[in-house]
Amino acid sequence: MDRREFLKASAMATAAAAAAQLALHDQAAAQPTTARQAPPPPAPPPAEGVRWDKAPCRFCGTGCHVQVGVKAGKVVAIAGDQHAEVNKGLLCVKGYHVGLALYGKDRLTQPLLRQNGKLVPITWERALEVIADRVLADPKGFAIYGSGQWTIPEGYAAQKLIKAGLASNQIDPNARLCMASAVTGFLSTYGVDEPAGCYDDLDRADVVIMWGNNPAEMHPVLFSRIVDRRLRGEKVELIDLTTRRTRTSGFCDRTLLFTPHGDLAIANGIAHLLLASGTWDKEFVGKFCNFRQRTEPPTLDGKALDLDGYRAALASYTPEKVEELSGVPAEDLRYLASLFARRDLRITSLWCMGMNQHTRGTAINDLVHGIHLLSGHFGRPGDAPTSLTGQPSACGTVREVGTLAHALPGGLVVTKEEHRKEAEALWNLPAGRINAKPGYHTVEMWKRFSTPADKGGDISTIWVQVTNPARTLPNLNTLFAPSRTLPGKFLIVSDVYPTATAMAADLVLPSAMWVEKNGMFGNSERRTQQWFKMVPPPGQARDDCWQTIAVARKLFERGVPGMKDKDGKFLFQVVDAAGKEVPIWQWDSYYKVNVDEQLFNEYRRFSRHKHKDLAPYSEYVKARGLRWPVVQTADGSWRETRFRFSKADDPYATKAEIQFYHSVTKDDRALIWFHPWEPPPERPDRDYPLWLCTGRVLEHWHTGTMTMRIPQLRRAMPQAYCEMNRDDARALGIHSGEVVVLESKRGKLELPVWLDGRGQPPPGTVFVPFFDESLAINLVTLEDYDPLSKQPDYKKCAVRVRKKGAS
Amino acid sequence: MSERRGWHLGVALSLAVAGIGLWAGVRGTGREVQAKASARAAVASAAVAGEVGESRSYSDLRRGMTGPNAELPARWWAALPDAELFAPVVQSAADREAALTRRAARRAFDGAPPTVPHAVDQLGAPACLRCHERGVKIAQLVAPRMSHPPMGSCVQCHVASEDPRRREPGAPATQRAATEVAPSLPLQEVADSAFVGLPAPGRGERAWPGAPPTIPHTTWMRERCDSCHGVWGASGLRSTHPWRQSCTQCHAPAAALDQRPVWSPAGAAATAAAAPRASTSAGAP
Repeated sequence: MDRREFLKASAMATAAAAAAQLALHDQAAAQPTTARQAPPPPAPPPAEGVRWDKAPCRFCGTGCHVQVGVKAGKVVAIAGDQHAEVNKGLLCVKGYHVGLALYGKDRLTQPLLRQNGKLVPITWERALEVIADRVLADPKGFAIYGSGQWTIPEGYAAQKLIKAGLASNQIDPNARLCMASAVTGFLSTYGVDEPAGCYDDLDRADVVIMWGNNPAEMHPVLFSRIVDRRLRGEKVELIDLTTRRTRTSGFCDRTLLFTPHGDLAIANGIAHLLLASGTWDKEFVGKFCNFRQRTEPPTLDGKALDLDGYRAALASYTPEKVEELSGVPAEDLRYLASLFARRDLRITSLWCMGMNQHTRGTAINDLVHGIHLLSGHFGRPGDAPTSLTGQPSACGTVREVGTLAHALPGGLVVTKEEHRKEAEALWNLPAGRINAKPGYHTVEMWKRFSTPADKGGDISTIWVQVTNPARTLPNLNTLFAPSRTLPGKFLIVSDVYPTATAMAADLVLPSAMWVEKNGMFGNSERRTQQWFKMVPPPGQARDDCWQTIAVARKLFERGVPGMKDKDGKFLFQVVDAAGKEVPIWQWDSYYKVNVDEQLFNEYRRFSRHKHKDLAPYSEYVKARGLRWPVVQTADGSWRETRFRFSKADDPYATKAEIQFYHSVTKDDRALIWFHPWEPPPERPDRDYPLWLCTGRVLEHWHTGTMTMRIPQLRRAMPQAYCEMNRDDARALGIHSGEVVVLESKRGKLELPVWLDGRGQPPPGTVFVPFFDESLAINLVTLEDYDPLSKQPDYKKCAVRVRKKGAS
Repeated sequence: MSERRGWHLGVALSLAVAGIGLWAGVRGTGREVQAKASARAAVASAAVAGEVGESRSYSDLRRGMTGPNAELPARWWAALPDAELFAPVVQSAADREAALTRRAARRAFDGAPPTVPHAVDQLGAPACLRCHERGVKIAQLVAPRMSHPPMGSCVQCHVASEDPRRREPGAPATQRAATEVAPSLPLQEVADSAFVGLPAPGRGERAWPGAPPTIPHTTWMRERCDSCHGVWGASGLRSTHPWRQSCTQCHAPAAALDQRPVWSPAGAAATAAAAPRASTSAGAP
């Protein structure tokens, strides 16, 4: 009897037994027959040995909470956190696989120093000495380039090292490339950064307008929060304003394709129609708004404008004119305006990189806020202009901690004397320590790093933490590549994998990531989140925050005066419960106290200035994040705020039902700006006849350094591609799957074409995602940036495409 | 006689003409309806799945089933599982092992959303619910009923298990072209993962032989037991009594697995005291 026959026979026997039991109504019939044949020992509960704890997801700015399952020092499972208001137990495919991001086999586990062209292992002690040498050799030329993936304490430590310690202000983050225009939009409109609304708006809105946004792929959990309402029988109208058909378009009631830069004309066209038809909200505007126009050179304050001036400025933006500028039919524009004209509807606008990565990014942000204010679609649940962010802590670490070249924590800026004084007091620094001159913004920093010292390239060392500029900077041939051959330029990279940047670096520091360390993030809806270290980092990998503090201590020991406060104490002095100083710069002492807690509780004192009040650390331990301002109530508990500026919910709005209490004009009013449509810096021409747009895909996050190491995600989307319109492809004789050469004035790239794949660009447009490190589309993109936010435009430049091999 | 013959001929001719006319008319209508139906299918697929109801024309209504047999196909369809409902369920450890292995191959860990073993529409909203909302079995091929309530954006969690890019006939296979942006070392090939996921749980506990086993896995996103344990469930996972619908009446879920808060003063104190991540009350410097 072979195995097969045996199985067959035993199967027949069990079948017969089961049938007999059924016939006899045997009580044991409910029991699986195998259990009766050979009773197995009682199985242990499967969760035994698995410890579950909360953490926010490591990827986008949505800020979903996950439950992390840990067994024997390793993450073994992830589940959506049912207690989290953000995601209510659901995740996207990246979130479900976030735990795998820790376990790529090529994790960096020891410090590496480039010697004779090769990266050679060295000790941590030596690595810290090398950094200290670089700082001492040229303190003004030493810059930190950080990230919206820094935890709040990591960003705060780097901020303090540069602004309080080295007094140079040479710190800027990759979030400059991601949401700087949203910041300038909020500042110029409301006088204070970050959205007034929150995700609760998505549950209430009747209409959701997505401005150059593809949330079905980029913010999937928020998108399904909207579309799942339809399955519950609710009505929500989705309108997609886009430059190419995306997965989001498939869910939308209307998809309005516009030509790149046409969004400026569309927003002005809506405002024009609201004024022309008299359907703007005169009461709301009369009580809560002022009009504004820009100056030359542009500033965040602009200059005053009255209603007649505003009306006159918009006069030329007739639907027909807007159709000409944007390609959106006049009747569709009238339809959009008719929605804003209705007070009974609640309208939420969503945007992310489409409006922010824009050479007129501040302008389009202002205009979208403006039409919401002009039509009174503001301040009620569901009525909100809401910007989304791409990184888990772009809001928490960059916008709130202020890790930008001009900023100090809590919305303070280095250019204002009273702000410097306030920061010096909170940091216990001698008067005048903080430098009044802003450092270089991202593009400028890297341009100077890629320029010889004798030609104005006064940045000699950049320490990169938690980001991959060798793939994410625009126009890499100008901003990144030259630095790697110029003498005297030294690149330090703290990372977890051998990314393109790490492989090009002179010194590589292995970092701990995500639940290998304590951390805090701040998401897109002002929610501050906390998690604890759950597993040890591999090899000698250590926290970025520790690295920063250890370097500061090395400088302290070498006698750099800035590393002391005015009482001579170390800038990062941390004491234990007994009040005794803990040498946290020594790795084996770092987790003897909770450094995150101490740094956060120090930092939160800055948060009162702009009414972005943060609660003590211990409150966040208990919560799945809290949305600031978090204000203590009479009974001692801490209350978060969902709708800012709204008297119904915001404890700081006390005078009227809406109070813009950080108003630019100091009269509790927000500003409705006029900005004209202007042509983009580069448009398709005879030589480069196509628009290029770049962006993300669902499966991969940013440059894929983590997600490309997750088998499930990599298999689903293994490499970058070029989306084209089918007619354009046919004209060039290109089949789907064939390799093309894509070329701009700045660089070129070979990659395969995918027709009718994830997106469908209109004729004359191509799209390439930037997640693939080996196919760097930023060789091709343009480094021109918005004059106020300094954020470059990755969404439009002129390219040409030819079949590989064809001339 | 000749008159009578002429009359016969006339009748035969007119019958023939009527017959041809009827045949041509019926054929024509069929073609038109087919053409309309394909146009409608295109419209319907473009419409948002589950959102926009299809409008029906009079011809649809005429062609639609009415009368006593109207529900026949649906009833016949619904009757499919009934045929198997009371069939004796044969279970073996080998079948169970095979089913769990197949299940694990599509998941990074127990509880991860499975990847999709077939092609999925990459643009727009794929019509997953058509098959997976209730489940479909055609011959031996089962599209399982989804284990959780329907959601709108399936591809948010469930991605293809292989490269979704379609190649067109005649196009050469893609070659992976690497870019060089002045890295001093060549980019490393992306390494494998060392992740070892939580395996599928063992069997549930029984208080005594014959007691209904507890549910050994979370029931979050796995509320619909019949997805795996129903009449179309894989052999080895299928319930011996799939006709019973209220599973949790007898099979208890575990609060620890389901993230339900289980509060005890002792537990709360223990969590707060856990070192080294503990909150210390020491002030800031």
